[in-house]
Amino acid sequence: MLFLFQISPAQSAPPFFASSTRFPPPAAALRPLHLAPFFAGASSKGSGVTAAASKLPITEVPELSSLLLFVRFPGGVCEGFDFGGGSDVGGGVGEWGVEGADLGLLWKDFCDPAAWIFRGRRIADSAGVWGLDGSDDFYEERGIIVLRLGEDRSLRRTFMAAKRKKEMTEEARSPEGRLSPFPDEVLEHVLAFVKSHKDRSAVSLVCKEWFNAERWSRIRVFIGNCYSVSPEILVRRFPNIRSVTLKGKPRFSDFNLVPANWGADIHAWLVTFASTYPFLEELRLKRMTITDESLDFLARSFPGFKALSLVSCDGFSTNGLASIASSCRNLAELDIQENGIEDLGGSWLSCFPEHFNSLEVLNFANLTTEVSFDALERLVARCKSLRVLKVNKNVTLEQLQKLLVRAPKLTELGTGSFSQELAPRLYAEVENAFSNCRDLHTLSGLWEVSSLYLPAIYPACVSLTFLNLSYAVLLSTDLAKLLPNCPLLRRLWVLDTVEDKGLEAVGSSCRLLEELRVFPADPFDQEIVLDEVGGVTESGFIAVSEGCHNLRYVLYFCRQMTNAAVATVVRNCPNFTHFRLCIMSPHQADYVTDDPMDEAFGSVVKTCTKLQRLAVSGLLTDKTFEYIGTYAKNLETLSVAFAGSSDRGMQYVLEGCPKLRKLEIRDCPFGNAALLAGLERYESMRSLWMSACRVTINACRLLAREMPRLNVEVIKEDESDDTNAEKVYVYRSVAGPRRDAPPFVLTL
Amino acid sequence: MAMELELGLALPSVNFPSKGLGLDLNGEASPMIAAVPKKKRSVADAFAGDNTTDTATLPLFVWDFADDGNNNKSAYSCSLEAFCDLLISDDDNGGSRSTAPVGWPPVKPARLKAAGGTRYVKVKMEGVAIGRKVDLSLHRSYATLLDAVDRLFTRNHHVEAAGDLTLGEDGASLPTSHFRTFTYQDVDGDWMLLGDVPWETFVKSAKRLKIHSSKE
Repeated sequence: MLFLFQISPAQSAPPFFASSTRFPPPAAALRPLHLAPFFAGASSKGSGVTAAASKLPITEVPELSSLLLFVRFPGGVCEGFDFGGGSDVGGGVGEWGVEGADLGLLWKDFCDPAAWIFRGRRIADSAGVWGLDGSDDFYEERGIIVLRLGEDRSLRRTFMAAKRKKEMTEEARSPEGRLSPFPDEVLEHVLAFVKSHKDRSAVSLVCKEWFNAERWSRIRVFIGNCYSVSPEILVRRFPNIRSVTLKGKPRFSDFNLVPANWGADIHAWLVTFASTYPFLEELRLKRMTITDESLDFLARSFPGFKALSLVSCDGFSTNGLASIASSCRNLAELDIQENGIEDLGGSWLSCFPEHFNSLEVLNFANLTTEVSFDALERLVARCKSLRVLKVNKNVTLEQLQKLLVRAPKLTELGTGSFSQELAPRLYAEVENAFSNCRDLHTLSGLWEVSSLYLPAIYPACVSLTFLNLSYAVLLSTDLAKLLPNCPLLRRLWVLDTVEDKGLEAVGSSCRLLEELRVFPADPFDQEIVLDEVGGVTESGFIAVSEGCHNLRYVLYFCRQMTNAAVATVVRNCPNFTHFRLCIMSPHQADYVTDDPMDEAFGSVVKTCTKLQRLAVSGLLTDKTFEYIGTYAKNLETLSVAFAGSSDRGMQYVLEGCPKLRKLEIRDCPFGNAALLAGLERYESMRSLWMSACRVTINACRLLAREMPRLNVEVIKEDESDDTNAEKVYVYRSVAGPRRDAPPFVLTL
Repeated sequence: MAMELELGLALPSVNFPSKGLGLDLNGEASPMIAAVPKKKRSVADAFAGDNTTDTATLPLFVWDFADDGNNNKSAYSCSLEAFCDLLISDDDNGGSRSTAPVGWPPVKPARLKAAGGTRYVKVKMEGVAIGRKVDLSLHRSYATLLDAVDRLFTRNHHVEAAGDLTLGEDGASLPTSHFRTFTYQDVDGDWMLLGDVPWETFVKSAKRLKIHSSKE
């Protein structure tokens, strides 16, 4: 991702717009941009930075403060253009002139310094100066985003002053010296537009000045494992945070593999935030524990609080939601998903004060008790900015129609129950309400939908990009009639009741599809039944792949699969980044050949070179893991269950996948040798989970001793066996061992 | 031994891939390593009683038994389900819902609760190994349901048609040649006679159907 910031004081260009991955349309053609000689020594023409500079890892040049221009061309080649910053860095790249107060500043995705190619190249050469010529399209094609910062007089003045100062001192400067090209405020100002966490991390590694500028200007922080860092460390480094995202328990806690009261309680964080981030606005938690007391504390401690998102969390009840509703005056987002929430009743919704009207996002789809419809309707009516509304099952069709009438500008809608018996006139009103929702791009809910009423949503589907039917029991005929109404669909979630025939309809109707998730309607049903059975097979998978060549994300639950089918699927769709196949019976072989499913996943990793996430299933030997280690060089997340033959399997992965960050394993014959094979790897990973494997506690102790910056935890519920490590959780941390571990968690 | 029984009663179907699973009591099975957690018993323990989990020969079937507390054990291995049905009496122990490993398949609880709106129920006819499934939401009354069920079995299992199927007061059909008793298991696990409650109530509470046939 590259950003080109142009400060254009004299433009009629619009005020700055936030960076995004979609190139914004240019307001006007870009004038030739002459870049300022803030960088000393920018004098030589020619090919730019020399090869010598490219061998220097950027972090080993502590005072390096030149700004490096990189262009990422399609195909991934990066070419570097040094703006200067010291002739010894690279000899400069030419003359930079300044026109008005224009300034160009670019970054590259810094994640992989080894990929930097310092090879200057002129993009345009007018009047002997380096310039960036052409319209925004020109740059867009070359991966440069153009942002205009608009009129900012103070910033201009700062630049001009810095430039003059630099010009004066140029002679005095030693050849070895380097001047900081920017005053700090400028850098911070510009850094505000760098939003990606990875980019910001990389920026902070460039040099001390950039580190400081980054930490002062950062307002958002993402912590993938709440125990990897402590609240104190966080607030010490970042003083101005307004948005915190925290993830807690290991992912397998979603499937009841982590005992209750394991930890990941938010309260200590909130207490720290209350004193250092009084302006905290957003809190997004996943798999954390949060009590009603904490919610109450949150509501009272942060007057500007705007957004609360709780996904797969537990520990609270609807009383906590009532605190939020009644006390957060500026709340814009309340998003409660899939939580272990104690639902004591729907009166929390009525706690929003009568004058409260700032809500933009409201999602209570997974709550089970009924809210007061009257209160809901009034809330929706007065929150004019509401764009996301996801109600729960108790809201009827008739009620939904009333809500839609009040909020036709919704972009995301989660319906309630769709099964009410409707008089024709009422049905027409529902259909009408849906047809007024022209901005809808996401639709979900649809509990208990019947074929009769499904057509009511057709008019709203015209601009849908995400359709979540995973709570709707639909048959293939329903789906086949629905999908042609959704030509722009990119993400589709369905239940396997649609069967292979339904997936054929997906293949033929959803040409733009990028993501498909097929969930099992009856996951525990193992009896063999024929007809009317629901369930998808390898045929459905192939059918989708034949029609949807843009597929990059699949989650597929099935009861039978073949190696050949998977090979066909990835041949048709080689661009998978996320491939999660769940053959629901453990150890199930290819049902046609009775071979293990090794070749299936072999074909996945060989063909899908961009694969980031993989979940394997079926009967698998070590061969699967050998394939993964050999080919899956971009793999970041791997989930393994009931697979493998020996320690070698896990070793292949640890040795072969350089980008691995999360490894979760259950019920596999991997033992101590496998665990310890990853000794050197775990610090570059977020975490490792191993349960029901063959690891002993002593091996865990050894690992903990050898790698002090890892937290090695063993969950032990079975008192009888002293040596077996039932569940092992290993993660890197700068905060040291947990101090809040419950008795069944051994922190080694 | 087991194979013959299975072939005899099973329909030819891709759902029976038993041939490749190394059903050899003595020799090696195909490379399947049963990652059998300590607490769970292999089928060998359950049936032969004299195998341990770490013998050189692999267990006969690759599956795990979970004791659900009621001493009900049935295999979760889909591929051997029918065989298992023959071994274990079909005593309506609630099916195999309770015997999958913890947290498997990996479906989030919220999703399970919500998708419980499925109206598919299994239908088993006494004496027929293969169960069927019907979608109750496609029917509006007992009459259409019974009709559909009857057609399912007669069409595929060469079961004699029951003729005129109407429910008597006691829930038993009144066919011309066969008595069939239709029962269903409700949410509480109790077996009830079909027809006792209004249709809507039945649809909401029925979990599975069973057809008992007894000749007149």
